[in-house]
Amino acid sequence: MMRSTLSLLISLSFSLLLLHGTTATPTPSPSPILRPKTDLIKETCKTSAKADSNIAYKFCVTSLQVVPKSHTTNLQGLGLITTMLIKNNLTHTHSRIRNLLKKPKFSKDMRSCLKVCLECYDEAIYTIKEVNSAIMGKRYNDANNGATTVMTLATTCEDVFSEVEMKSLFTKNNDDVFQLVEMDFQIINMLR
Amino acid sequence: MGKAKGGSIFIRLVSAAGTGFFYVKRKNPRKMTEKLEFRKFDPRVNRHVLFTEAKMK
Repeated sequence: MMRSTLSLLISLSFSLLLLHGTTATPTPSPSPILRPKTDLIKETCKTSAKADSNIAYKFCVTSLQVVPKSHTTNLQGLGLITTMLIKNNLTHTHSRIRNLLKKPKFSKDMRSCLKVCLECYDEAIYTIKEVNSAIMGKRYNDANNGATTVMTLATTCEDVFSEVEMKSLFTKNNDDVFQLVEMDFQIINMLR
Repeated sequence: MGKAKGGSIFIRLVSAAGTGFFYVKRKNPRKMTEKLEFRKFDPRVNRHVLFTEAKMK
Protein backbone atom coordinates (compact mmCIF):
# COMPACT_ATOMS: atom_id res chain seq x y z
CA MET A 1 0.00 0.00 0.00
CA MET A 2 2.76 2.34 1.08
CA ARG A 3 4.73 1.42 -2.05
CA SER A 4 1.79 2.11 -4.41
CA THR A 5 1.12 5.50 -2.76
CA LEU A 6 4.77 6.41 -3.19
CA SER A 7 4.78 5.43 -6.85
CA LEU A 8 1.53 7.40 -7.37
CA LEU A 9 3.12 10.44 -5.78
CA ILE A 10 6.21 10.11 -7.94
CA SER A 11 4.21 9.75 -11.15
CA LEU A 12 1.99 12.70 -10.15
CA SER A 13 4.94 14.96 -9.45
CA PHE A 14 6.55 13.82 -12.71
CA SER A 15 3.43 14.63 -14.71
CA LEU A 16 3.16 18.00 -12.94
CA LEU A 17 6.75 18.68 -13.89
CA LEU A 18 6.00 17.77 -17.51
CA LEU A 19 2.88 19.95 -17.50
CA HIS A 20 4.91 22.85 -16.18
CA GLY A 21 7.46 22.28 -18.88
CA THR A 22 4.86 22.54 -21.62
CA THR A 23 2.93 25.49 -20.21
CA ALA A 24 5.82 27.52 -18.90
CA THR A 25 6.61 30.60 -20.89
CA PRO A 26 9.60 29.96 -23.12
CA THR A 27 12.67 32.18 -22.86
CA PRO A 28 11.55 35.35 -24.56
CA SER A 29 13.15 35.80 -27.98
CA PRO A 30 14.50 39.27 -28.67
CA SER A 31 11.81 41.59 -29.97
CA PRO A 32 11.94 42.38 -33.73
CA ILE A 33 13.00 45.92 -32.88
CA LEU A 34 15.96 44.82 -30.79
CA ARG A 35 16.97 41.92 -33.01
CA PRO A 36 20.13 42.82 -34.94
CA LYS A 37 19.39 43.51 -38.60
CA THR A 38 22.40 41.49 -39.73
CA ASP A 39 19.92 38.61 -39.38
CA LEU A 40 17.81 40.23 -42.07
CA ILE A 41 20.85 40.58 -44.33
CA LYS A 42 21.79 36.95 -43.81
CA GLU A 43 18.22 35.73 -44.24
CA THR A 44 17.73 37.79 -47.40
CA CYS A 45 21.02 36.62 -48.88
CA LYS A 46 20.31 33.01 -47.94
CA THR A 47 16.90 33.10 -49.64
CA SER A 48 18.31 34.94 -52.67
CA ALA A 49 21.24 32.57 -53.13
CA LYS A 50 18.89 29.61 -52.81
CA ALA A 51 16.49 30.99 -55.43
CA ASP A 52 19.17 32.12 -57.86
CA SER A 53 22.41 30.25 -58.48
CA ASN A 54 24.00 33.40 -59.94
CA ILE A 55 24.06 34.96 -56.48
CA ALA A 56 26.95 34.05 -54.22
CA TYR A 57 25.90 34.17 -50.56
CA LYS A 58 29.23 35.62 -49.43
CA PHE A 59 29.17 38.34 -52.10
CA CYS A 60 25.63 39.27 -51.10
CA VAL A 61 26.34 39.49 -47.35
CA THR A 62 29.63 41.36 -47.81
CA SER A 63 28.10 43.86 -50.24
CA LEU A 64 25.21 44.68 -47.95
CA GLN A 65 27.12 44.66 -44.67
CA VAL A 66 29.59 47.35 -45.73
CA VAL A 67 26.75 49.87 -45.82
CA PRO A 68 26.19 50.97 -42.18
CA LYS A 69 22.52 51.76 -42.79
CA SER A 70 21.83 48.16 -43.82
CA HIS A 71 22.11 47.04 -40.16
CA THR A 72 19.08 49.06 -39.11
CA THR A 73 16.82 48.90 -42.14
CA ASN A 74 13.98 46.71 -43.41
CA LEU A 75 13.65 44.68 -46.63
CA GLN A 76 12.62 47.69 -48.72
CA GLY A 77 15.68 49.51 -47.34
CA LEU A 78 17.87 46.60 -48.42
CA GLY A 79 16.38 46.90 -51.92
CA LEU A 80 17.23 50.59 -51.98
CA ILE A 81 20.74 49.91 -50.66
CA THR A 82 21.31 47.29 -53.38
CA THR A 83 20.10 49.79 -55.98
CA MET A 84 22.48 52.39 -54.56
CA LEU A 85 25.36 49.89 -54.75
CA ILE A 86 24.50 49.22 -58.41
CA LYS A 87 24.42 52.96 -59.11
CA ASN A 88 27.81 53.49 -57.44
CA ASN A 89 29.24 50.62 -59.45
CA LEU A 90 27.82 51.97 -62.72
CA THR A 91 29.03 55.51 -62.02
CA HIS A 92 32.52 54.26 -61.17
CA THR A 93 32.75 52.23 -64.40
CA HIS A 94 31.29 55.11 -66.41
CA SER A 95 33.98 57.51 -65.22
CA ARG A 96 36.62 54.85 -65.79
CA ILE A 97 35.49 54.50 -69.43
CA ARG A 98 35.51 58.28 -69.88
CA ASN A 99 39.08 58.46 -68.58
CA LEU A 100 40.15 55.60 -70.86
CA LEU A 101 38.64 57.36 -73.87
CA LYS A 102 40.82 60.41 -73.18
CA LYS A 103 43.92 58.30 -73.73
CA PRO A 104 45.01 57.99 -77.36
CA LYS A 105 46.76 54.61 -76.94
CA PHE A 106 43.78 52.42 -77.94
CA SER A 107 43.04 50.97 -81.36
CA LYS A 108 40.04 52.05 -83.43
CA ASP A 109 38.16 48.84 -82.51
CA MET A 110 38.84 49.28 -78.82
CA ARG A 111 37.71 52.90 -78.93
CA SER A 112 34.42 51.94 -80.58
CA CYS A 113 33.88 49.26 -77.90
CA LEU A 114 34.57 51.83 -75.21
CA LYS A 115 32.11 54.24 -76.81
CA VAL A 116 29.38 51.58 -76.91
CA CYS A 117 30.03 50.74 -73.25
CA LEU A 118 29.88 54.42 -72.34
CA GLU A 119 26.45 54.67 -74.01
CA CYS A 120 25.29 51.50 -72.23
CA TYR A 121 26.44 52.82 -68.86
CA ASP A 122 24.86 56.23 -69.57
CA GLU A 123 21.55 54.52 -70.15
CA ALA A 124 22.02 52.17 -67.18
CA ILE A 125 22.69 55.07 -64.76
CA TYR A 126 19.55 56.81 -65.99
CA THR A 127 17.53 53.60 -65.58
CA ILE A 128 18.83 52.69 -62.12
CA LYS A 129 17.62 56.06 -60.81
CA GLU A 130 14.16 55.09 -62.07
CA VAL A 131 14.45 51.71 -60.32
CA ASN A 132 15.20 53.57 -57.09
CA SER A 133 12.06 55.71 -57.36
CA ALA A 134 10.01 52.66 -58.40
CA ILE A 135 11.07 50.77 -55.24
CA MET A 136 10.33 53.82 -53.10
CA GLY A 137 6.90 54.13 -54.73
CA LYS A 138 6.28 50.38 -54.37
CA ARG A 139 5.92 50.03 -58.16
CA TYR A 140 7.64 46.66 -58.21
CA ASN A 141 6.82 45.79 -61.85
CA ASP A 142 8.53 48.98 -63.00
CA ALA A 143 11.45 48.24 -60.69
CA ASN A 144 11.76 44.76 -62.16
CA ASN A 145 11.70 46.08 -65.74
CA GLY A 146 14.29 48.71 -64.93
CA ALA A 147 16.55 46.15 -63.30
CA THR A 148 16.27 43.91 -66.41
CA THR A 149 17.30 46.90 -68.55
CA VAL A 150 20.36 47.58 -66.39
CA MET A 151 21.36 43.93 -66.40
CA THR A 152 21.12 43.52 -70.17
CA LEU A 153 22.95 46.82 -70.75
CA ALA A 154 25.90 45.47 -68.76
CA THR A 155 25.71 42.30 -70.89
CA THR A 156 25.58 44.41 -74.09
CA CYS A 157 28.81 46.15 -73.00
CA GLU A 158 30.41 42.76 -72.40
CA ASP A 159 29.16 41.35 -75.74
CA VAL A 160 30.50 44.20 -77.83
CA PHE A 161 34.09 43.15 -77.00
CA SER A 162 33.48 39.56 -78.03
CA GLU A 163 31.92 40.76 -81.32
CA VAL A 164 35.29 42.18 -82.35
CA GLU A 165 37.18 39.32 -80.63
CA MET A 166 38.75 41.49 -77.97
CA LYS A 167 39.13 40.92 -74.26
CA SER A 168 36.71 43.02 -72.27
CA LEU A 169 38.24 45.55 -69.90
CA PHE A 170 35.17 45.53 -67.69
CA THR A 171 34.38 41.86 -67.09
CA LYS A 172 34.74 42.21 -63.32
CA ASN A 173 32.62 45.38 -63.22
CA ASN A 174 29.96 43.89 -65.48
CA ASP A 175 29.87 40.67 -63.41
CA ASP A 176 29.48 42.68 -60.20
CA VAL A 177 26.64 44.71 -61.73
CA PHE A 178 25.04 41.50 -62.99
CA GLN A 179 25.16 39.89 -59.55
CA LEU A 180 23.95 43.00 -57.73
CA VAL A 181 21.02 43.29 -60.13
CA GLU A 182 20.17 39.62 -59.52
CA MET A 183 20.13 40.44 -55.78
CA ASP A 184 17.85 43.40 -56.49
CA PHE A 185 15.51 41.10 -58.46
CA GLN A 186 15.21 38.71 -55.54
CA ILE A 187 14.57 41.51 -53.03
CA ILE A 188 11.93 43.04 -55.35
CA ASN A 189 10.26 39.62 -55.61
CA MET A 190 10.25 39.28 -51.80
CA LEU A 191 8.71 42.74 -51.47
CA ARG A 192 5.79 41.96 -53.83
CA MET B 1 16.14 58.28 -72.60
CA GLY B 2 16.63 55.23 -74.88
CA LYS B 3 18.80 57.16 -77.31
CA ALA B 4 22.45 56.38 -77.78
CA LYS B 5 24.96 58.66 -79.53
CA GLY B 6 26.13 58.27 -83.14
CA GLY B 7 22.63 57.71 -84.57
CA SER B 8 22.11 54.49 -82.61
CA ILE B 9 19.15 53.83 -80.39
CA PHE B 10 18.48 51.35 -77.63
CA ILE B 11 15.71 48.90 -78.38
CA ARG B 12 14.03 46.12 -76.44
CA LEU B 13 13.96 42.54 -77.64
CA VAL B 14 10.85 41.14 -76.02
CA SER B 15 10.30 37.43 -75.47
CA ALA B 16 7.63 35.93 -77.71
CA ALA B 17 6.84 33.47 -74.89
CA GLY B 18 4.89 36.27 -73.24
CA THR B 19 6.90 36.21 -70.03
CA GLY B 20 7.69 39.91 -70.21
CA PHE B 21 11.42 39.18 -70.17
CA PHE B 22 13.47 41.33 -72.52
CA TYR B 23 16.98 42.21 -73.58
CA VAL B 24 18.21 45.71 -74.39
CA LYS B 25 20.31 46.10 -77.53
CA ARG B 26 21.73 48.94 -79.57
CA LYS B 27 20.58 49.46 -83.11
CA ASN B 28 21.40 51.99 -85.77
CA PRO B 29 18.10 52.47 -87.65
CA ARG B 30 19.92 54.03 -90.61
CA LYS B 31 22.14 51.02 -91.15
CA MET B 32 19.56 48.43 -90.17
CA THR B 33 16.06 49.26 -91.27
CA GLU B 34 14.37 45.90 -90.69
CA LYS B 35 12.97 44.84 -87.30
CA LEU B 36 15.36 42.70 -85.28
CA GLU B 37 14.49 39.13 -84.33
CA PHE B 38 16.70 36.78 -82.34
CA ARG B 39 16.44 33.40 -80.73
CA LYS B 40 17.72 33.97 -77.23
CA PHE B 41 17.48 32.44 -73.79
CA ASP B 42 14.45 33.33 -71.69
CA PRO B 43 15.26 32.41 -68.05
CA ARG B 44 11.60 32.53 -67.05
CA VAL B 45 10.71 29.57 -69.27
CA ASN B 46 14.24 28.18 -69.13
CA ARG B 47 14.66 27.76 -72.89
CA HIS B 48 15.53 29.62 -76.07
CA VAL B 49 12.64 31.50 -77.63
CA LEU B 50 12.12 34.15 -80.29
CA PHE B 51 12.71 37.74 -79.21
CA THR B 52 11.22 40.52 -81.30
CA GLU B 53 12.04 44.20 -81.41
CA ALA B 54 10.01 46.69 -79.43
CA LYS B 55 10.59 50.30 -78.48
CA MET B 56 12.10 51.33 -75.17
CA LYS B 57 9.49 52.79 -72.82
